[in-house]
Amino acid sequence: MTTTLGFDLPLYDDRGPIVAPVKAVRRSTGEVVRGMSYETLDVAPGSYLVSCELPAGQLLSTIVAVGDGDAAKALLEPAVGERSPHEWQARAHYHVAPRVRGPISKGFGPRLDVELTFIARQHALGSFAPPSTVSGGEGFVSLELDVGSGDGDLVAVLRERPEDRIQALVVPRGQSVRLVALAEAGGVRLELQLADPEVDMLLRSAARADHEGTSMLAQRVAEKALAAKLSDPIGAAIGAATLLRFNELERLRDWPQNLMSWIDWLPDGAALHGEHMARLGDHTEALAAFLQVGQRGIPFLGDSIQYTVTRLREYRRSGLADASVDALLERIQAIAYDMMFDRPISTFGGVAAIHAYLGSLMGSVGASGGAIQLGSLLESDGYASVFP
Amino acid sequence: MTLLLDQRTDPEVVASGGLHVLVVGVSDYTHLPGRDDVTDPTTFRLTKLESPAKAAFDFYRWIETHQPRLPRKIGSLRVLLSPSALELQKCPEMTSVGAAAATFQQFDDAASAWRGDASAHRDGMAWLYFAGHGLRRTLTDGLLLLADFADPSKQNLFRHCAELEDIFYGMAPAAPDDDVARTQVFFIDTCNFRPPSLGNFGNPVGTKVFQAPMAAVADDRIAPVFSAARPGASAYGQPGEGSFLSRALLRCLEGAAAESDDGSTAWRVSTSSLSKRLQQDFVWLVGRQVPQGVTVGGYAADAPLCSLPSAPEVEFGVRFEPQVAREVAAVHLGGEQVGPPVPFPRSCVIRGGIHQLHVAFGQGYADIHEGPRLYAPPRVTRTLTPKATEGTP
Repeated sequence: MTTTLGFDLPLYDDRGPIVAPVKAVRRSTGEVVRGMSYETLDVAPGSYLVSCELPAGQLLSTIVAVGDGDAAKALLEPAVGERSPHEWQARAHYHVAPRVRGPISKGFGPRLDVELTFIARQHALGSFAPPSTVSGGEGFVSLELDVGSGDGDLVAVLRERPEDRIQALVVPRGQSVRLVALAEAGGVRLELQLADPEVDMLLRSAARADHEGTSMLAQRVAEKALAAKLSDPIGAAIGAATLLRFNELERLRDWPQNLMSWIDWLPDGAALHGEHMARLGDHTEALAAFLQVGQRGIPFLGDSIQYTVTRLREYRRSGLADASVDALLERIQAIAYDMMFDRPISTFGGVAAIHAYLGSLMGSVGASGGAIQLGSLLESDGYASVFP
Repeated sequence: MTLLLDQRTDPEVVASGGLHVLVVGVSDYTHLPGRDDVTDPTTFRLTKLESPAKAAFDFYRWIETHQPRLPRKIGSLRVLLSPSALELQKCPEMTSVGAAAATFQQFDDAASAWRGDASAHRDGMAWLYFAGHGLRRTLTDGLLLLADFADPSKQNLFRHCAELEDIFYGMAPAAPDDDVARTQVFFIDTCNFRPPSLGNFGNPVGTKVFQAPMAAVADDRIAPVFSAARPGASAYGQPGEGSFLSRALLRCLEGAAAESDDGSTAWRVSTSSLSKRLQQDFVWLVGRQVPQGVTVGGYAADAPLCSLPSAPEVEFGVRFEPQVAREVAAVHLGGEQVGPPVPFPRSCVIRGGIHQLHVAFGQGYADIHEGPRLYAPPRVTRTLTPKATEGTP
């Protein structure tokens, strides 16, 4: 007779149930089993400490006794007073670090005075539909976007007033995303929330969560993406990047290579395969992969940009790469100087980096670049604003 | 002298590799002006510092005095210190340990010896703690400035700087038979900004310590890099008292970042738990509002840092809504009353573990009972909203 342990994580945001990695420890032996909150695991009978740590830091835990042949269920709910005050705030409440969560969770954060502009290549405008929902409140503004999978990149530019600070975020194509501007100490944070709850959880967890649980989630996300023939290449890239961050070389298998081969427009596939090869000591293959980044554009993930710059610089210095990589290196470094590396999706601040990014895109499609003044971003050569 | 503890021939170290530590703290930059002197734009307006050497000293002292709790027996412990006058005044014992000055030459020698010792066994561990000035070069790479930075007798301004990337990749296995310790931890307690005038130097190059070859061998290390500041930001400290990263780090190692699988035994701090705590609770750990945030890069897989002899302290606080309920509340955790019932303190200290919360009100409100939960460091704060009954005050 099978003995099983399931989980009940009764947390919802306005898109549906929140999912998270769960750990169960058999108290008599210390044996650890892991799974996702929607799964049921085969376990040995015994008393289990079941816990789940959310990216914002809430630790949910309970003890459950599992008898021989039982189908037990562990209820993981926030302690009294730790629940999100509203469903529409749940994503931020449970997924965003407390320093960000603070001002908005109580619903009386500062008023946001921001301007959002979207920029795309003109010929790709047909790929983008206007935002379906725009909502906002004290301390945040949120809008839904469906970005087509056509040939085009979309950049969201946020201008903060009255300081006139600028930050830009690359929106991956082929995604249903929610773009959120959140008030936080010292400014506004532009964030992307992805539709797939597991991928979104992974995006938020990678930098600061439990290593084992996050690795397991990353593996699942990547496996799921591959099983679906990479119908979600961004999810696969986030999964692979997380495993690289933990240097889980065996768990990575040949996923980055598949990502690079099967999704020929995705710069991250090339960057992640290059880094994987470099860590395995195959620097010739790594260099070939990194050179493909230049043909594909600027990666969506901050990690991919970091790997590309670091390795290309090293290969140039050591003589493995010749001067032909200099232009690519210079182009990516111009952006990288202003990258916000605590953001998982490529986000950069400052006008210079935005110019460099747009210039880079132009270069990759063979259009003439030239100086782009921020004031004329909306009508710059080769670009146009959508959804003003 | 840099090698302050040498147990490299200890049989346990020989058998399992041991822990090899290099600690560097630079406050007294010989060629930089004092804090109140006129600054020089050619050296990016950098000045002497007054907290990194104390920060490094505190980290060294903690390691030395907590040897039984470390995951490996210490094989070698090297320390370089260039303290400021204020640090020496506040902590005179810094002179008595006999650490060499943190010049580039001393660092070069110590780092080479450190790597050599760490190469004795792949199951060994290597830790680096560097506190001082840092300049962001590109992305996650930076220059680490040693005490003789900007030596006017040298044509190259950056001659006495090390490169973080060179150190990180130099510690990677360089050949199939390279047994360098596969578990490494780097603490970089420096600012992480790029002065605009640094661009005048193109891509400034420090002096290589390792000049790592591009090895045809897998880099299978666990090697997280904890940086005290986000890219573009500064790291801070208190003059003469050490840095905020050092303070937060030591609080974490003392138990604020401890975790236990079963909630009752074997509390330990790991790189993963440290990463969470430093990123989520930095302000709480340093006890003041600071515009500083820790980032974790490198190969951030999990590795043990230390174990705890007993369950760690947890700051436990309860708020009542309505507030007046606290006047009749008696809070019990695991059958023990915590804090006096009237008025309940803002917070108190409990021991980490599995507890059941029970709040008895005596009158006016329905009692609150909760199932068992894990109470883990550093803090648990609860907001309770009891249901009013007859006779509510």
